[in-house]
Amino acid sequence: MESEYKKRLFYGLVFLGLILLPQFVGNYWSHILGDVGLYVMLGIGLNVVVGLAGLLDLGYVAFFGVGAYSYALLASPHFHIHIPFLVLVPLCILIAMILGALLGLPVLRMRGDYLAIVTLGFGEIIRIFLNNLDPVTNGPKGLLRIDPFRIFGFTIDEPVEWYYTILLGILLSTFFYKRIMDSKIGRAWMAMREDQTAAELMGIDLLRYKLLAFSIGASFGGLGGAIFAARQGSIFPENFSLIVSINVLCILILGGMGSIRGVILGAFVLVGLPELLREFEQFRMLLFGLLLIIVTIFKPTGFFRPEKGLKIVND
Amino acid sequence: MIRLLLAVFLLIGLFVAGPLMAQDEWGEIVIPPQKPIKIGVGTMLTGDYASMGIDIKNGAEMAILEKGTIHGHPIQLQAEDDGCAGPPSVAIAEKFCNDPLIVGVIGYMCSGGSKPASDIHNKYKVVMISPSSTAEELTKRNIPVFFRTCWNDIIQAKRAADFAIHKGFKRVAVIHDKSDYGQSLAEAFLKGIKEKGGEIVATEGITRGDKDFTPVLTKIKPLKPQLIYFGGMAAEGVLIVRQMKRAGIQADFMSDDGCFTEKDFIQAGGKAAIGSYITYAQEPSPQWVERFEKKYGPRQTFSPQAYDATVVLMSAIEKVAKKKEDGGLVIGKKALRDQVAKTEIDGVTGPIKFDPNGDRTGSVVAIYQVVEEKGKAFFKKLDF
Repeated sequence: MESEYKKRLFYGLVFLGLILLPQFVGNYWSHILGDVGLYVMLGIGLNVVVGLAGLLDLGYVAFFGVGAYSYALLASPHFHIHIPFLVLVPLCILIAMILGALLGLPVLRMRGDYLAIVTLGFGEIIRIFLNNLDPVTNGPKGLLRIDPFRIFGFTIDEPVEWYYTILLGILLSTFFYKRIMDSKIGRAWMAMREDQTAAELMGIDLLRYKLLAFSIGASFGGLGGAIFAARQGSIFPENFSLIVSINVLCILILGGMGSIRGVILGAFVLVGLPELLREFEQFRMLLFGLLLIIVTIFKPTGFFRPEKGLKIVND
Repeated sequence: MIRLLLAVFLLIGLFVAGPLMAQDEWGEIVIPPQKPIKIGVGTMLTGDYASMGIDIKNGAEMAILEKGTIHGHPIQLQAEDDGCAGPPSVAIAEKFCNDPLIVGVIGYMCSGGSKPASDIHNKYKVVMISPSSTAEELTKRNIPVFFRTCWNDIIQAKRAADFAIHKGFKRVAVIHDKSDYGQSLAEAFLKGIKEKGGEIVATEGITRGDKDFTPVLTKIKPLKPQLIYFGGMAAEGVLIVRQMKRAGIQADFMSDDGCFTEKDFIQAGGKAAIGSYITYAQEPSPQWVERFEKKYGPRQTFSPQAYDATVVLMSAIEKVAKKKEDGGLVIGKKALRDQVAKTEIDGVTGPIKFDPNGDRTGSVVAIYQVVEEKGKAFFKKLDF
C-alpha cells in the first residue's frame, strides 16, 4: 500500500508540474510543448497497433492526415461549413476509425515486413490523394483559415491554451489506453502479438481483433490530426509526409515499445530536443542525429522496459 | 467533469495572456540601453533547399553588417531554421514574436511556412517581409503585417505568358510539380495564355523528386507544342529540359525563378539548357553582386531580395524609433508597419514600393534566356 501511495503522490506532483509549467516558460516553449504533446498522442495511438497488437504500421500518418483534413474541410471557409468542434472532433475520430478498419481489411493475412510495406504504401496513397484531389482538398495550396476550437464563446488560440487542450487530450488518451490494455481486448492483442497461431487456437478471433487494433489505434491519430489542424490554422498535404510516421515509430523505439512513459520521454527527445539545439543553426540536425545514434548504441531497447506483463519478442 | 476541467485550464490560460496596454495602437517594442536591435530571419538552414535558404540568410546578414547600428544600437541577426514547412515555421514565429528584442522578421522562405506563420505574426503584430514566398493567398488575406520583396505567382506567370505570346508561341504545353508553388504558377500561366488567344495542348502534373519524365514527355510529343512551360524547381526542371531533347521534342522550354540557378540549371543542364527562357527578378547591380560574392561565394536565387527586405525593415526602424532619455529606444508596432508600407526606395532589385496588400508593385519580373557566348553559358536578360 505504501508504494502505491508514493506512486500516486509522484504522479500527482508531475501532473501539477505540467499544469504550472507554461507559467514559467512563456508562449514559445508552450507551443513547442504542444508539438511534443501532439506526438505523445500519436505515439500512444501507434503503441496500440505496434506495441500491443504487434502490427508494424508505417502508414500511421494517414490517420493523422485524415483527422486533420476532416476537421479542416468541415470547419473552414473552404466549403463554408463551420461545425462546432465538440461535434466535429468526435466525427474526425470516427472517420479515422473507419479508415483504420478499411486499412485493416486488405492486410489481414500479412505479417511483419510485408505488413510494413503495405501500410507504408497506404500512408503515401492518402497523402497523394490529398495532394491531387484539388476540387475537394484544394491540392498543394492547402486549406487556410481553419476555425480554432471555440467553447462557450471562448476561443482557444494562444499557445498556452493549446497546451492545456493537448494535455487534456493526452490524459484522456492515456486513461483510455490503460483501460483497454487491461481489458479482454488488450489481452487478446498481446496474445496475438506473441503468437498469432497460438492465439487463434485459443479462440481469439483474429479478424475482429486486428480490425479493432487498427481502428482504435487510428482514433488517436484522428484526434491528434483535428487538434493539429485547428491549432496551426492552415494545413498542407506536405505536413503529412512519411517522415511523420517514421518519427512516431522512432518515438516508440526510443522510449521502449508498449510503454506510456517511454512515449512521453521519446517525444521529448525527438521533438523537443531539436528545438533546444536551435542555437547550433546548420549543425542542428547533424548534432541531433549524432545524439540519436549514441542513444541507440547505449540503450538498444529504449529508455523504458515495457510495463507489467508485457514483453517484446523478436521473431 | 471534462468540461469543468477544460474550463479550469482555460481560465488559467486567460491569466497568462493579459493584454498589454501601450501608447501605440498595437503596442510598443522597447529596446533597453546597450541592447541590440534584433532582426529575425526565418529560412531553411538544413534540408533539401538549404543552399537557397542560407543564401537568403547571407543576403540579410550582408545588409545588417553594412548598416552596423541604428541610433547607436547594434543590429543583431537571429537566423532560425524554418524547415520550409508549416510546423517549424509556426514554432519559430512564436519564438520571434515573443522575443522582446525582435523588431521585425525577414521570412519565411516558403509559402507553406509563411501562410500559418503570418497568422501568428498578425496576432502579435510583428512586421514580416518575405524575400521568397510568392503564393497569391498571402497578400489576398488582408494581413496588414505581411510584405514581400519578391513578386507573387500571378505577376510572374502573367509576365511569362505575355512574353510567350509576344514571341509567337501559340501552342503551349504546361507541366508543374504539384507543389503549391509550381501549380499556382502553371495555372496562372495557362490562364494568361488562354486570355491572349493561345492554345494549351496539355497540362501535366509530375511528382517532386522523380527522375524520369519520359512518360509525360512522350505523351506531349505528338501534340507538337511550340513551348513547354514548367512550374517548379531546378531539380526537376533541368531533368525535363534534358529529357525533352532526348525524346526529340522540338519545343522551347520556359520556366520560373526556381530554375534561375547557375549551378543546378545551367551547369547541370549542359547543352540542353541553352536557349531556355527563365523568369526572374531584375538582375541586381554588378557592384552588389561583386560585394556579395567576395564575402559569401557564388550567389543563388533570393539573396538580393533578402538584402532589400532587410534594408527596407532597417530604414523603417530608423525612422520610427524614438530615443528615450536613458538611451533606450521605443518602436511603435503600428508606426513601424505603416512606415514599411510607405517605403519608397531604390533597392538592388529595382525600385521598391508596396501596394495596400503588401505586394511589391511595378514590373519586377524580367525574362532571361540561357545563352552561350565565348564558351560560357549564362542567363542573358532579354528586352521585354
